[in-house]
Order: sequence, then structure tokens, then C-alpha cells
Amino acid sequence: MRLIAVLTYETQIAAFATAGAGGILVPVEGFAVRSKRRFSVAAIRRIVSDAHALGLTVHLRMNHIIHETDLERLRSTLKELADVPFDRLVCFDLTVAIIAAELGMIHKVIYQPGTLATNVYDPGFYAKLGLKGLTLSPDIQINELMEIAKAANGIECSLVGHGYLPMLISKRNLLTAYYGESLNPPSVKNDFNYHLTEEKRPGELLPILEDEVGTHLFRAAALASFEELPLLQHLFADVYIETNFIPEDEVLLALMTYTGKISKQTFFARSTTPYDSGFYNRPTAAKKEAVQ
Amino acid sequence: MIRPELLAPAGDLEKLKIALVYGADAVYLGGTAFSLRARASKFTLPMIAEGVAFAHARGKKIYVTTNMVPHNEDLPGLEDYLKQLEAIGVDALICSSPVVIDAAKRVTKLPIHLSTQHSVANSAFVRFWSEQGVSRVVLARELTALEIADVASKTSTELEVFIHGGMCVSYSGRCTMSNSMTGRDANRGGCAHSCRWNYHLFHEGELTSPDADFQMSAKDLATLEWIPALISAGVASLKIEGRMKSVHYIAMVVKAYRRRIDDVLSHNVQPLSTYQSDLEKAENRSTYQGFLGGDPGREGQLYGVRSERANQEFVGLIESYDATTGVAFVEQRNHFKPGDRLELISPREPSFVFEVISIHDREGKPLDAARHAMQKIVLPIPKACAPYDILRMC
Repeated sequence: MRLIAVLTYETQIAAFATAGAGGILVPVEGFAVRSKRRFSVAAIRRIVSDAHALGLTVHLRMNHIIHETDLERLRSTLKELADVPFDRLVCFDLTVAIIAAELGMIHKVIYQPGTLATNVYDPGFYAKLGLKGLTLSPDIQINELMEIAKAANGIECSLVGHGYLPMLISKRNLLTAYYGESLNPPSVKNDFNYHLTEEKRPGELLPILEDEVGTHLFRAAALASFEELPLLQHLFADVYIETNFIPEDEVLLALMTYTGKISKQTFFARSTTPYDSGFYNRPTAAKKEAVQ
Repeated sequence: MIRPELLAPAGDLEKLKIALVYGADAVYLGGTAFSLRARASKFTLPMIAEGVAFAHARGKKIYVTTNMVPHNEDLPGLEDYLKQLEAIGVDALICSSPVVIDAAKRVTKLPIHLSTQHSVANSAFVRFWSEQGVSRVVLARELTALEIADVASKTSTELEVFIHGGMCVSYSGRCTMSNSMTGRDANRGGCAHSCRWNYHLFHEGELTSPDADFQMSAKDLATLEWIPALISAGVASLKIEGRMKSVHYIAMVVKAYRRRIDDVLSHNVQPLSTYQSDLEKAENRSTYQGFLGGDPGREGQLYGVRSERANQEFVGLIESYDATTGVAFVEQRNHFKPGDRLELISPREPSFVFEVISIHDREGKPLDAARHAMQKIVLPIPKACAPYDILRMC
């Protein structure tokens, strides 16, 4: 199982390798959202070379919902990437896989649809399409994750194991709309310093981010999988480490903790981010009365 | 121009019948299993069968939502349920999860409509699902009218577009806010609408929103003005959202869009206000055109506003009318009394206002008011009416 950390600066590559990452997730300019930095194809070419030299795999992130007007631009970018020896292409909208298939790149695609991959049937469906991998939903329980990954055949299963996970993805510019004329929109876009609190839950800080494609709201606590990864590691090819809203040094500490270089106690003593175990042990249900 | 289907929601059998009588070409409903709106999915198989019989007798269709995103624990019984729906004679299934789609293909011959949960926003994705055996794709609600026309021009697959009703602020199907905030899984019918709660907004730790007035609540969709463009684009189905809405709401919204669509198709378009007056009688939330005209901006959002306003009250449903005596047999829905002015709403004609002269029970005993929900009452109405006509307080 590889730990794949989201890259913000090229200078992080070596540090990630030293801390124990097995790969990096590189946001692609024009098609990555919820990202502090996006990288051009030229930069990606350089990053792939540097990362491979350190033994890291390079996963490219395209997590934008693809509208009709994006299609040709997507096709063009994927063609540009065709001769770049990256290892995986991680997408949120299956359209990326569809266009990648047209260009003979489907074998590199990992579909990471957020909450949509939730049962034992899903990996088989996407395997038949020729995809390399499927990232399972982060809001299902650990026993479900294990059942699904065990049953998966012909496709790599992965999960998002660490960091702040988005829980609402809107095409609306909710911060710009809220402030109206009172604030110049450029100071809102890509500003990672906003958060919400629900009026009856004052202690829960929900990071909120508006970027070029809309607004993203995140969970109040970052996910940590220190207890769970030992149970999951033989079933999953990759575990993604999200880095938004987490100090850079804390990301390195997390990698070191997952790879046994430091203890969990040390990590929590030195970290400032609130963490929880997400949905590993928390059931969700369809009806109010069924929630435990 | 192709005549698009007008597709209406039904939360129960009465709403189903009202939707069809008031002009819907098809109705979608949720059964007690595998549907996305748990609270609005109360149709047992016998109820669905009754709905199918009612619809088919009028040349109309019934679609059943099986669009939950199931976990492993939800899968038992899926194939049997789909077979039973086919045996009943439903006209299509609305699905989102591959496991449901493949089961439907394997054990039934029913047409499959892809739910908006997949946020399909381009023609390549439409073609993909068509190749997977899907006959209709419900597009994401985030498309502009131009994008819809562009997608439609590049695919022959039937497209369905939302034209009226509640709007998720998130791309549908990708939201886990309810899961996180309440433990209720939105993709399994448990959405708690946490986005519509009140929030404080902070920037760099400083509160920037007074009175917790930051909400992520979109105004409801209303698109009367866009109907000509959607028809021209070749959209196959125009969909109204709202399985939880009232009988009155369903009747008025369906009636307004039925008239609008028919008038566009017959080149007899009336001023928008003609149709809007019916909608305004039904609405209790602020509305906007969604994304059809582009970024909804502030105008499409609700911040710190309780937009719900009292709409005119639905007080009775006509069961029958005796033309000889001019007396209507009515099932009561809300309190009214002699002296009140009521509006008679019919799917066929303009509404008619009259004053209630008297109210009797079915045994002929005079009543000082119609007080009890579902009470069977009799009152004179000075205009012929018919079953499923509605009485509303003016």
C-alpha cells in the first residue's frame, strides 16, 4: 500500500519521500479544484522526472466536474500528457476516464467519485471499463471497505485516508454571492482562511473554500486512519493523504506516523489540526430514527 | 418541435392522480425500497399497481425511482423488487448506481433512466450511459440552457431536465453534508438539509456574518420563461421536483407548466404573468431560474432569509358534483366556513371565485364550519365542477 500525498510545492517531493510517501498526487492546471496549487503540463513533466528519481509514483488529479464546454480542453490536455510518463490519473467525473479511453490512457485512470462507490458490485463495473482503480467512498464503514476491497477483481482499490474531506461541492459562488458588492471577489477566490460554524455547534469549524468552479465545504475534523490502516493495508493499493488546511510539517508528521517512523502519541502531541476517524466506525442510515 | 413530456412528482396516490389529471404526461414515485427520498417513498407494490392502472387508463406513464446509492447491506432483495415492478407494469426505472442499473438490465426489460445523482454535464458522458443501456439521462441541474442545447445537439439519447422545484446547493449525489452532520445518508434517502441551517461565516478567525445569516440554501427552481428554449433544444422530458409537496402545489405547478408547454407548441404563447399567477398561488419558497441563465449569483441564493411564506390554503377536494342541484361533494382539507370566499381550481378552465353559502355533512346536517380533516361535506357551488377539482381559500 502506497501513501499518496497531495503536492503543493515541488520542493515537497523530497520531503515526502523521506517521510515515507510512496507517491504524490499532482493537481493538474485547469482541471483540479480545491487545490492550493495546480501544475502545468510542463511542470508535471519535471515533477514526474524528479519524483521517479526518488522512487515515488506520480498520480495526476483532475477532480473537476466536466461540462460540455470543458470537453475539448480536456481532450487537448490529455493529449499533451500522453507522452508524460506519469503513473495514474485520478478523476472525480467519469468523463475524464471516457476521454482517456479514447486516447488509450484508460489503464492509468483511477475513478475517485467521492460518495458514489459504496458496494461490492462497484469495483467490477469499473474494472469492466478498463479502469486501473477505484477509490471507495470515504463515508462507509471499515467492515464495508474491507468487504468491497476483498471482492474486487481486476481493479485496484484505494481510499482517502487522511485529511480534510469535502462534504459539499457546489457550482455556486457562495462566498462571493454572500458578500455581494461589499468585497472584491478576487480576495475570496482560493482563500483558504474561511470557515463556517453552524449556529448550534459553535465548536465545529467547517473550512469553506471558493475557487474558480464553485464552493467547497469540508468536514469539521480531518480524517486520520492510524488505527485502521494496519487492517486495510493488504487490501488497498493506495491511500491518499489530503493536505488542504493542514500545516506542511504536520503532513510530514502524518506520513512518518503511518510508516512507523514516529508514534501516534508524538503525532498528536505535535499536531494542531482536529482529527477523527471519519465513518470507519460510524454508521449512516436513511432515516432519522435509524441513526445510532 | 418535439412535444416534451411533462413529468411530475408524486408522494402518494392522491398526488399521483392529481398530477395526471392536471396535465402531467408521466409521474415518478418512490417505492418503499431503493428510493432516494425515504420520507417521500411510501408506495407499496399494490399502491404502485393502482397508480399504474390509473395512469395507463389515461395513456400516461409511471416511473419508479430506484436511485439510492446502495451499501452492501441494502442489496438483498433488489432483483426481486425490480421484477415485481416490471410485473406491475411500470414504464421505467430511475437509477443511479451501477449495481441497480445492471440488475435492471439483467432481470427486466424496463427502460432505464439515469438519475441526476451522476451529475451528467456533457455529451460524452450521456453517450457513455447510452452505451451502458440507459435510455434517458437526467442532466445535472448546474447546466445553462445553452449547455443543455449543446448537449442535446450532440446526442440522440433522451434528455430530462429539471424545470421546477427544490434545488440542491451541491452537485446532486456528491454531497455528504447530511452524512457528516447528522449520520443520515443523503444518497440513501436520509438528507437532513443541513445546508439550509444557519451558519456563522469567519475569515481569518473574524466573524463576518451577523446573526448567523450565512446559509447554503438555493432558491427553488422556476423556469416558465425558459420553456420555449428547452423545447427548441429537443429536451425529451421536463421534470418537476417535489415528492414531499402538497396536493395543491402539485396541481397548480403542473397546471401552469401544462398550459405553458401547450401554448408554446401551438404558437399561442400568453404573457408570462398568465402562467405565473398559478405558480404564485402554489409556491411557498422564493424561486429563481437556477443555472439556466448562467451563474445564479446572489439572486439565486437565500442568506438569512426565511423565504417560506403562507400560500393560499387548500381547503377541499371535489369528489363529485350534482349538476341538477348545483351541489358539490367535497373532502375537507383545511378549515373553512360559510361566508368564506373560495376559489375553484380546475385542470380544464380558469379558476372561479365564489362565496360559501352553506355547508352540510353527508347526512344533511348543517355545519357552522368544515372543521375536520378528511371530513365528507356538501356545499353548493354556482359552477359545474368535477372530481379532482380543488377548493382554495382566497
